[in-house]
Amino acid sequence: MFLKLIARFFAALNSNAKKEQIAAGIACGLLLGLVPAGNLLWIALFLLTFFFKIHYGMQMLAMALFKLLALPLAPLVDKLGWAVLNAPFLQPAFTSLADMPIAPLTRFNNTLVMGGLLVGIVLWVPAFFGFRSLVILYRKKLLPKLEQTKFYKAFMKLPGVAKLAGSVASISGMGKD
Amino acid sequence: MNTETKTVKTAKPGKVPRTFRKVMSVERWNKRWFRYIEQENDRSFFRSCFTESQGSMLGLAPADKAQAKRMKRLCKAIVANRGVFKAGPILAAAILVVGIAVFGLFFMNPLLEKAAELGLQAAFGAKAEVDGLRFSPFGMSFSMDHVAVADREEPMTNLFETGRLALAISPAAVFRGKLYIREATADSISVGTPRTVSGALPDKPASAKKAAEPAPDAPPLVDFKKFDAQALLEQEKAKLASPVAYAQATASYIEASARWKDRAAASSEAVENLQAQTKTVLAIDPKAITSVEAAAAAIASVKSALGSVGTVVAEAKAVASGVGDDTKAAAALLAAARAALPADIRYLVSLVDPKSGAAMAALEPQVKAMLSSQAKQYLYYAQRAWTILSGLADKVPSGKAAAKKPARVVARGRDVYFPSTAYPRFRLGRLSSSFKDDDKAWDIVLSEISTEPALVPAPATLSLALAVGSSAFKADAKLDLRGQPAWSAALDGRGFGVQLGSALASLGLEGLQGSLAGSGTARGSSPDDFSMGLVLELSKASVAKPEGTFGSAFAQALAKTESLQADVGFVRAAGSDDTFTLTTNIDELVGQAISALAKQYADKAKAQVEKAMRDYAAKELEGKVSTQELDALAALIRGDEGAAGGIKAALDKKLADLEARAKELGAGALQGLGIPSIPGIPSTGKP
Repeated sequence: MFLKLIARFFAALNSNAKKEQIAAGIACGLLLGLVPAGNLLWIALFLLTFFFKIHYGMQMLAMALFKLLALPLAPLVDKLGWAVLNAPFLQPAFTSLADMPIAPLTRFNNTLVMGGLLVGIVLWVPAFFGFRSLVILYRKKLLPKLEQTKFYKAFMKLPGVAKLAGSVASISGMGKD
Repeated sequence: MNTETKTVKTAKPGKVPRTFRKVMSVERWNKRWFRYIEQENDRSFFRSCFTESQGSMLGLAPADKAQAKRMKRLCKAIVANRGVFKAGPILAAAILVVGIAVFGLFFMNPLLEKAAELGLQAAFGAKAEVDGLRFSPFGMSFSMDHVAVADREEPMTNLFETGRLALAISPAAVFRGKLYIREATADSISVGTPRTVSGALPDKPASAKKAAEPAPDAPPLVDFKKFDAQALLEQEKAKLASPVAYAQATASYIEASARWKDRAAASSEAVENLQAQTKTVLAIDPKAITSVEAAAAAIASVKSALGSVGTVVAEAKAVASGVGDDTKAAAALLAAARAALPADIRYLVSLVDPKSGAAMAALEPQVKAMLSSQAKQYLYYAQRAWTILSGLADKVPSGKAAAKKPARVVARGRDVYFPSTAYPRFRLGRLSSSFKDDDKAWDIVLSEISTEPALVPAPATLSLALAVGSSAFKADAKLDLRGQPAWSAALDGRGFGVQLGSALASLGLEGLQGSLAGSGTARGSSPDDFSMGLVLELSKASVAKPEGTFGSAFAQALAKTESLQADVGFVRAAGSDDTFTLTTNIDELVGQAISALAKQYADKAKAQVEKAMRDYAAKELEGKVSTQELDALAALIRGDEGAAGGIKAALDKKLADLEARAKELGAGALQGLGIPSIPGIPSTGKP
């Protein structure tokens, strides 16, 4: 399973998948990872991503990673959510929101939901551009250099690795043929 | 995109794929194809598949199968990398929306119609029909063409029936699982309409009805012109006290005579026997006795006779005493009966006295019965409404929303509660209906009906207005279940034509009509604990066919004043009888109108009534009382008692004389000797 995930990760990086799609997948995974699941907001965000061409594999991987990362970050996110939800100037807006038909189902009044949403939204754009740059860096600089090293060539000849490389190639459809 | 994919799928070695056959400029080729290839080696391969000629890019045929396959994969990657939105999910969402729309158009309304029927049936305990229900999910509005709910108590009658109903529901409440009907309007509402099929539900039988109370008896109203004192006496005989008292006295005399008759006869016989027995003893002459022995024998005979006399005298006294007591008791009853006679005469005279309140006494039960028959109908609806509203409120455990405290669990976050509106499970904000029924214009507003009254800012209210030409009626009712249950209602109306027809024909007031105006209030804590007051005025009043003295006088009075006023009071308290009071100006009006008539007829009628009553008492009552037998019995027993006493006194004297004679004889014969003792005579101790 883990090898398959790794394979999918490298397959995405080494495929013709658009770098923006990969970056958007990771950024959306970050957002979904930080917002607790089980409420209408998370479901709406998750369903929204289906309407856009983003890399779902990357999104799921990133979401799993950021869910793990969200646990140690929970106290900070909670404090941020608490501060925002109790901000005096926002009280009328939140009170109106609480009276709206569907809004309470989003659990916007939960500190982790509100904090996670804010952190996720704020980090989405930098995450997008950051990971986009990383993908470019990997594809243009890192991968060509790596492929020229003797270590890489020797490593690729190992029986298990050769099998993995085959899997990656089959998944990504890379033009190695 | 799909065409391109299909084209690539059909690409074969030796042929340029159809997608890439089109000649395009380098710039367009780059924008349309080349820039979507991410990997450098794929970009080189793709570039090698085209040749540039005069600023245009021409596709080359793949050299072999592998190249064709690679081109196919690249085409797929290019298509996947183009654009931002995904067609598949958008299409799926569109299909979902269309599916929901189809459901909404063809299936939702029939299902909701059925649910509404079941809900109404559960609330009212009788069959309900809902037709033409339409629901707009975006506007959260309902409309129904027709609603009919049967009356559980009268299954062949509808409790209410409406025309087109329109409802506006609060979406905010719906998303919280609550039903808040903000506003509802009805084109027409009618109650008590007949049904063609029974509205009874198998598991909801009608409750047992109380038997209707018999109509009250009213005192008669006298027609002076056709006055018949004897007929009035016969009619009222059952209500008089003296006949009953006379009957009791008569029975007392008869019973006493029967009780003492035999015993008195026995006593008389005993006295007669005693007289015969003592005759010889009393005939003894003490002076004729010459010896002491003869005197002693005579004394013994007298003493023996005295022993018999004591029993007879005691019996005679006892009988005389008993007869005397019974005679006194019977006499007392007779005196009471005679004393009741003037009261009866006064009662009968009051019936021919127009100022004695007879008119009011006659009218009150009739008016009460008439008002009750109308009021009972509305009271029934009020009780049904109370039961339903209380039932709605009882179905929830508490009317207060539970206060939630923020949790302190950081792992799941903390909930911050904002002061949002708490919705009851069911709330009807406002139900209004303005409609015309022939010449009647109705305006009904019902507001704030709720399962949890504590969560509603105002009490339930019903405002009803009816206008018919220049007539108007308005009722405002309020039911507050938010704390201690309380209800109140205010009524006001004027200009309503009243045609009582033959309702008061028995009082000679057939065809009483006029224009009714009035106002009133009612308040209480339940349908079984309330008080009500009404002030009514019947103006322009007239009687079409007045009959009898009362009817005629009443009609004359109305012709002068044209106004009949009444204060009606009704109190129903749990655990005690209903109290109905009616105060009117009828007596005053009738008294004024009848005064002239009374001078002409009433005095004569009074005299006739008194004479008839006295004649009746003398013949029928006094005549039946027979005191003679008991009196004769008493006289007889008194004679016997005297005779027995006389015999005893004579015997006592005879004994004294004989004893004196014996002493005398003893003193002469035994002079100088000790005096011998004679049995039965105490010795004096002297010679």
